Formats: sequence, C-alpha cells, structure tokens
Amino acid sequence: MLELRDLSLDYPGRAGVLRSITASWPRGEVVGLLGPNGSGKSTLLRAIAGLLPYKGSLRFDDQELVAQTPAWRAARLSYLPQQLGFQQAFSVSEVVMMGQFHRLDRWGAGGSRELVGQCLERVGAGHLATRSVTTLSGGELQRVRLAQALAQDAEAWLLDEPTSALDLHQQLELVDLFGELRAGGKSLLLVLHDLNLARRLCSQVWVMDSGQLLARGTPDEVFASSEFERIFQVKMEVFHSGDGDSVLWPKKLTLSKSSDTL
Amino acid sequence: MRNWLALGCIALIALLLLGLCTGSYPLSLVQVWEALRQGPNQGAQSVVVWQLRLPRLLQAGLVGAALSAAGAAFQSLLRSPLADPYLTGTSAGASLGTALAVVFGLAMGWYPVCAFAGALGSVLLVTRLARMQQGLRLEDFLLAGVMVSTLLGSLVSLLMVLAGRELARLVFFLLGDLSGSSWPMLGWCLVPFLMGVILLVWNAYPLNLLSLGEDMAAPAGVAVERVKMQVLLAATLLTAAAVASSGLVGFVGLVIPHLCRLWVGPDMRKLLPLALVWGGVFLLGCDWLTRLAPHDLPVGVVTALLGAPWFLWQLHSQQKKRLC
Repeated sequence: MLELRDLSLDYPGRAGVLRSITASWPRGEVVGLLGPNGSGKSTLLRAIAGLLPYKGSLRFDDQELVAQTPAWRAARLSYLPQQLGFQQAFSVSEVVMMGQFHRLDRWGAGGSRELVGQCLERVGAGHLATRSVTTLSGGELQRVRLAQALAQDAEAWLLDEPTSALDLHQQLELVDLFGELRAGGKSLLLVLHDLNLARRLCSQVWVMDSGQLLARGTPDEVFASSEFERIFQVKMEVFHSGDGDSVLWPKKLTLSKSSDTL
Repeated sequence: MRNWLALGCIALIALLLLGLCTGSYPLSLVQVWEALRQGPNQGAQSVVVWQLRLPRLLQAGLVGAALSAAGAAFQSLLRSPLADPYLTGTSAGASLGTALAVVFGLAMGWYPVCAFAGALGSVLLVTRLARMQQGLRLEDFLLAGVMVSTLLGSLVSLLMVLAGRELARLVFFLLGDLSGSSWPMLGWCLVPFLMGVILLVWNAYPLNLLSLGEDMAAPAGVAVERVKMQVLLAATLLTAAAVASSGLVGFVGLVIPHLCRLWVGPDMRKLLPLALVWGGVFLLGCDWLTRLAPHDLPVGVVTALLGAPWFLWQLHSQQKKRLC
C-alpha cells in the first residue's frame, strides 16, 4: 500500500532528521513505530501526512503522494498529531464535521450530521457534541480527534502517541477500536512507547534511531534482537501468567554513554 | 447569527439616514428624500446630499467593512485575536504606498494601486521574515509585523518632512480621515474591496480548518499553501481599499471581528458577513460623531478613543473569568 523509498528530511540548521528510510507498509497492517525521543518518529509521520517537505519517494498504491490533490490524500491518509490543543471555539460537532472536508462542497455543505453523531458515540464522546473544543480536557480532545478521523474514514491512519492523554479504561477502549478498524481493513501506523501495547496491537514494529529505520519485523522478533537492545539499552524479559498471557518487562543494561542518563 | 445580521443591517440603514440629515447644513428626512429623488446637481440640498454626504457615508461603510473583514481574516489565519491589519504591518505598507502617491502628485486612481503595492510588499516581507513556508509561526509573524510597521511608519514620517505643500493632507491621512471622500475615489476602492470579499468568501470554510492549525487542515484535505496565500491576498486588497481612501483608521480591524466572534463563534461563514456589516456600522457611527464636533475631527481619533478602552475592558473581563 505505502512504499517509502530513500526518504530523507532536513530541518533548517539540522541535517539528517530522517535518513534514507526505505520500508513498505502493507494494507491492513498495524505497524508500531518505536524509538528513543528525538529519533524522528513524529517527523516521519508528519512527512507521510504531507506536512513536511522531504526528499525521496512516498507512493500510495503506486501513486506518488506529492503529485496528488489534497482531497485524494485525505481519502487515503488521516493523521492525529501528538499536540491536540485548539485555540478557536468551534463546537465538538463542527470539528468532527470537518473530518468530512474532502467530501464536502466548497461551502462546507453536504456533510452527514448523522455520521458525526455516530462517530462521537463510537468514541464515547456523544455527550460532548455541543461543547466548545477550547473547554475540553486532554483525554476528551483525544477522543474528539479520533471521532474526526472516523468521520474522515481514510484507508490508512497515522497516529502519534494516541494513548498519551487517555486513562487506563480509555486506553483499553482505544485498543478495541483499533482492533475493529483493523478488522474493517484499515491500516494503522502508530507511534508508541508502550511495548506491551505494541505487542498486543501491532503485526509489525519499526524501530528508529537518529533518523534511521534500524529494525523491522514482528514485535517478538524485534524486541529480542540485539539492535533493539543497543538502541534502548534494555533487555526485554517475558513473564508468563497462568492463563497463557504474557507481558514484557524491560531490564536496564549498563549505559554506554553519559549523555544517555536521565 | 441572523438576528445580529438583521440588527446590523437596520443599524446600517439608520446611520446612513442619520448621516444624510446631520451636518453644518441640517436636513430633514423629507428633504433628504426629495434630494435623492431629484438626482445630483439639482440645487443646494441635492449637492449636499449627492456630492458631500452620500459618497462620504458610503466610503465610511466601505472602509469599516474592509478593515473589519481584513481583521477577521488575519485573526483566523494567525489564530490570534490580536492580529489585525496594523499589527501585521499591512496598513503601514498601504499607508507608505498612498503617501508616496500623494507626495509625487499622482492622480487619485493610483492611490489604491500604490496602497496595494505597499501592502503587498509589506505582507511579503513580514511573511518572509516569519518563515511562513516552514509553518505559520504566530509570534514570529506578529513580531515581524510590528517591526516592519515601525520601519515603514518612520519612512512615512520622513515623507512628511519632505512633503512641503502636501503636509497637511498627509497629517490628516495618517490620523484617518473621511473628509476627502468622493464618488471617483469610492469607485476606485470598490474594485479591491470586492475582489477581497470574493476571495474571503471563497476561502471561508477552508479557513475554518486552517484556523485550527495546519496539522489538522492539511491531512483533512485543505490545500494549505493556496488558502494561506489567497487569504493574505484578500486581507491585503481589503486593507489597501481602506487605507487608500481614508488613511490609517485604527481599531476597527481589531475590535469588530473580536466582538462578532463573541456573538457567533469562529465560523468564518457566519463571522464574515457579520464583520462586514458591523464594521460598516461602527465606522458610520464614528463618522457621525466626528461631524457633531465643532471642528473637523479625523475619524481615526474617534475609533481609537472608543476601540482602545473597549479592548482593555474585554482583556480585563477575560482575566477575571480566568481567575474565577
């Protein structure tokens, strides 16, 4: 579905933020993007979302993304950023309606109010419909943005730390939602820090460090690899529970660089 | 929204009629109606109504509407209630362009062209300084706007020193003045005004998404760079139309969109018509007040005297709300 070929990106005064990334994101796959802070995960997501200029090639179903119209892209890729704050006092339903922008006419008419209500109900935010988005908490904002992405109904979702503002119960609901999306044929690329969540959700994980994509594979393969240990300076141990489930527990290795200390 | 719009239209008509009746040569509504019916140049009353008052009132309405719509556009685009044609340096660019046209004795038809060239130059400079192509940074844009505004303002002051015979005209121009209104000037300024309004109406809904941030607008399908450029162009045209005809009239572009946003929210499809109508109402009201004064008073003085305390009061109530 999405082919990344030699993808590189520089910021003014900072070269090599992304360095020659080549990878393939197959349709229907849930991919977890892992890596230390500053490794380029969010930048990679923003580049794929069309928010940053890059060198190299990004092809969606064999079509070069930069050559397509914004509406074509919006039907295929939606993006949920890490920072969710709003400064304009639109109502929650107005913001969710904006998710349908690529299907609306120039004046914003032709959207389905019923769909807006359904999307809000799906993320448990139906009661927020008339609230102003400037008055919402972080968790509520996260759910509103998820409802907006549902209304956009793109084929592939780019999500930057989608669980960061949610409490435990909401995180579990989100896991269910992602499961449903995957069953419905959607593809997800998630920036995550929680390895157990990645193991539970993802069919493959990509590990980045210093702007490079250094490891790819199934979660268990990658977490057991020496490359993973080197990047995170941890060794993963698996603990099995009685009911056949298991959890990962990271064990800190000796730090190789003084700059790696907190 | 409809109630506020209807109320604004009623106020607009009432102020137009009031303005036609008021002045050093008072007229009754019946006399005004007679003069309007007779047509231009049919006696003293007809001259007062057709040649003096009507172009001035229409000019006031147009300038108020233009500045208010430009302010609404800047505030949505930059996601800041502080943004207006002044703070972004657009007015200063337009005033330098018009001042140059005045000093070099160009025909009146060149004023909007020079104002637009100055405003566009200023916007491009501010945009360049704020590195807008790397994402729109509000703080950088406003800081660059203030600095460019100061620089261009000093160039206008320099022109005033060199102005000679045109000095008095330039001084009034800088204070914001409607006394030089005429039908030809109204016609010249109507062109950029209409172009600006059409561009803003065309971009009203995409601007709603853009006002929530580029991270949200672009992935939702908005052609971000094109919308940004068209909205900036529209705001520049509107500012040029206002400044070329009446000089520097402050606070309309800041206060009126802010007030309208409190009434109908940030949706540009509702905010824009309201800002246009109430901008016209505000400036017609201010112009009416200047004509009550014993001396000819520039309208910019009245807009500042009313606008600045209102804005400070708003700031104070918002601070109080936050504390509660």
